[in-house]
Amino acid sequence: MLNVPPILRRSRNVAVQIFIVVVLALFFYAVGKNYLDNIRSRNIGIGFGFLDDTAGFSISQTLIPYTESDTFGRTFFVGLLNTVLASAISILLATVLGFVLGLLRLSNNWLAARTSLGLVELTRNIPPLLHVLFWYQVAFLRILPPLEDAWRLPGAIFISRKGITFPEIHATRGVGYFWLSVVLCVCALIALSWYRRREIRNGRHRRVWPFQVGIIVVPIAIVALASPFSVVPPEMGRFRFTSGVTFLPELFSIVAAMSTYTASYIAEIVRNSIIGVPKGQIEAGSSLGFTRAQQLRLIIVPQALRTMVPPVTNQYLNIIKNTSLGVAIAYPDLTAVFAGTALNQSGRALEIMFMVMTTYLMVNLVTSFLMNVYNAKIINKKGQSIDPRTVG
Amino acid sequence: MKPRLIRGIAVLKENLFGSIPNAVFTLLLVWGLAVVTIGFLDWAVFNAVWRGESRDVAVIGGATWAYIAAKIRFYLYGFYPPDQIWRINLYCLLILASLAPLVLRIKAKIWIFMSYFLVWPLLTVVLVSGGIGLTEVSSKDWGGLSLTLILSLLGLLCSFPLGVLAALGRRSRLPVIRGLSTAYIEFFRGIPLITILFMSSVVVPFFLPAGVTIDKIVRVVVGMSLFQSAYLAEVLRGGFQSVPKSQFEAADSLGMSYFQKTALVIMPQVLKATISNIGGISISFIKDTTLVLIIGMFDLLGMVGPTSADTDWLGMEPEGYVFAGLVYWAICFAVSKTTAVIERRAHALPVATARQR
Repeated sequence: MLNVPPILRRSRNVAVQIFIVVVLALFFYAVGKNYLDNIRSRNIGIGFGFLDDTAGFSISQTLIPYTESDTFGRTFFVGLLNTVLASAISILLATVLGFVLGLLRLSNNWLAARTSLGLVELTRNIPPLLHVLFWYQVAFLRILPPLEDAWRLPGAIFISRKGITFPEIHATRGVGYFWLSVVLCVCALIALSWYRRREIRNGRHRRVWPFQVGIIVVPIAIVALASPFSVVPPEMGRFRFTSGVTFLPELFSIVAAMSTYTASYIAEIVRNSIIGVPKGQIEAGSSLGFTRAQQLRLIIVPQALRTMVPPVTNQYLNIIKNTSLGVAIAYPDLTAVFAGTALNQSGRALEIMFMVMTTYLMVNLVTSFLMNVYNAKIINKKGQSIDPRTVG
Repeated sequence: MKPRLIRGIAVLKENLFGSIPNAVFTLLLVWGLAVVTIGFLDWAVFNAVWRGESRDVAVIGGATWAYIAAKIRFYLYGFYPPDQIWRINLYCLLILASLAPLVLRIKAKIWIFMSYFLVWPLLTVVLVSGGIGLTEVSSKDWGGLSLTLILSLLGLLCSFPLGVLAALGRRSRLPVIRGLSTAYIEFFRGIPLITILFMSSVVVPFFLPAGVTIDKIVRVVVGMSLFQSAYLAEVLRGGFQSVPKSQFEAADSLGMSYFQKTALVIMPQVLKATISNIGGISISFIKDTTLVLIIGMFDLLGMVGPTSADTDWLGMEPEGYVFAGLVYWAICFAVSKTTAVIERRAHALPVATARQR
């Protein structure tokens, strides 16, 4: 090998690469040709024109208006939004639960640490699909009451085996003022926090929270006094609520399953990152008279966050991918609606699978991009001083 | 010095009841744990029914383990013909026997490992599938724990060479190979496994020439291996980064070829550094085999549905899921403990250090 002159080695490398490209091209050509032959003999169309055809099936949970006469293209967005909804709630809950379990693992209280360890070991060694099916068929379908005996919560919210149904909220006169006030309040809050940060940088500390509270009260007061919205209680039909906004028990199941399952992984990450914070930092905190809670909040967690972000991002991406398990309990997410029902109805398997896979790839790329931005931001914070007032 | 017991009690008292909030927390936790444990034990043990012919024996607030006893054949072997079940048993025994040499402290284990690529698929075809001398059993009838094991073993086996190739490809100096490997890894890591299973069950038949069919189970194993190999490649990439640069340089200066350098110097160190991660993704893979129930195959978890839809045993899902959960838990726990043992053994071996005096 040593005796091969560089020029020969280089041309060999080029030849190897050309060979691989040619083999791949031939492979894809053969596959593509077979595909065209097959769909021609079975009379299936090709291309994305079917997206404008009428879908003709109903979907049990739609975040945007949808009827059976809408197009396949619209079913895609209905499914995608359901995936996003389930992922977003699961990510939120998994983070909170994971942090709590991870901190409990490190608790000085022996029993708490052991309980947390037990929960983590129990949940992470059981397949996520089993979690989903268990929550659905054993927990929710057995605990929740049938539709006739739905639990009624204040505010005309109903909980039954058909899901949780919220009343519809209709805008009445004066709603424009309400939205205007919301926009103004958000602007005012941003300006206030910017002002506070500028003052801290100049070494002054202004008490701004009374103003913040005051600003938030305004839109609430408008709602209470001028009532720009009217609440329409849901109407109970024979099989489901015929009006109102319903979230399915399938959604609860997938959220419960994904948040507990992923929380066990996040707990481990949280624990490892906190252990990774140099001991000297904690000792320095103790010697400065910080309480344990203050050490956690002001010294340990900010440093642990830096090592935590990349692996936690991976877990978030896993949640997004794993919500596709909802297909097993017919939660109408992207996979179930589009790669399931729409695929069977239209027969356009390749086009639909291409769209679904591309979408998951895109969602994953966007999420990891956002987390990278966040990561860069918290790493840049390294030099910034801590607001001394919060130390008490 | 106080006796040990009293000292222990003192430590525990300080630990659990050191301050008032801590004491309240401990008591709440004890109460919660007690309620959950007693409730579960009541259901699973004290009120449970162990014998019976149908769901009539079930009692409220107790598990009906008689259902598991009645359906255990389905949970283990799926719809495999009862008179042929000996073949599955023999298959499992032979697989276990083939794993046995790995426990011994012998050299050249790599050849034993390589032989699995020949032996395991051959055993699966001859014994489980049949057709050559034995009655043929369609893969539609495979199911239960045995299907879970077949999928896990074959899938993990096939994913290994693919993952190693992809990981090496991603480090290659040749831009085409590097680009293709990176695209391969990022693609399979970016999509859910279920879409790959849909592809393999719905779309792949369209890719084959007319008249050619590939058995569903082969398509599924290949799809799952492709998926798993991308994760394996990422784990190995971390391992490559942990190997000191001097190791590469040393191999080069000894005049080793690329193959010699990779196989004899680098890979052993990479594998050693990534044992626990490989164990982790293997566990994920075993858990992921459950997804085949979505495309209509009945693995251990998939058997809960059909067996509890039997009119004699309607509504036995809780027992089924708890049973399946216990089995999966035991398998995964065993794999993670085995990985820990292998890791401990590997780290007891002499270490190649970056700088030697």
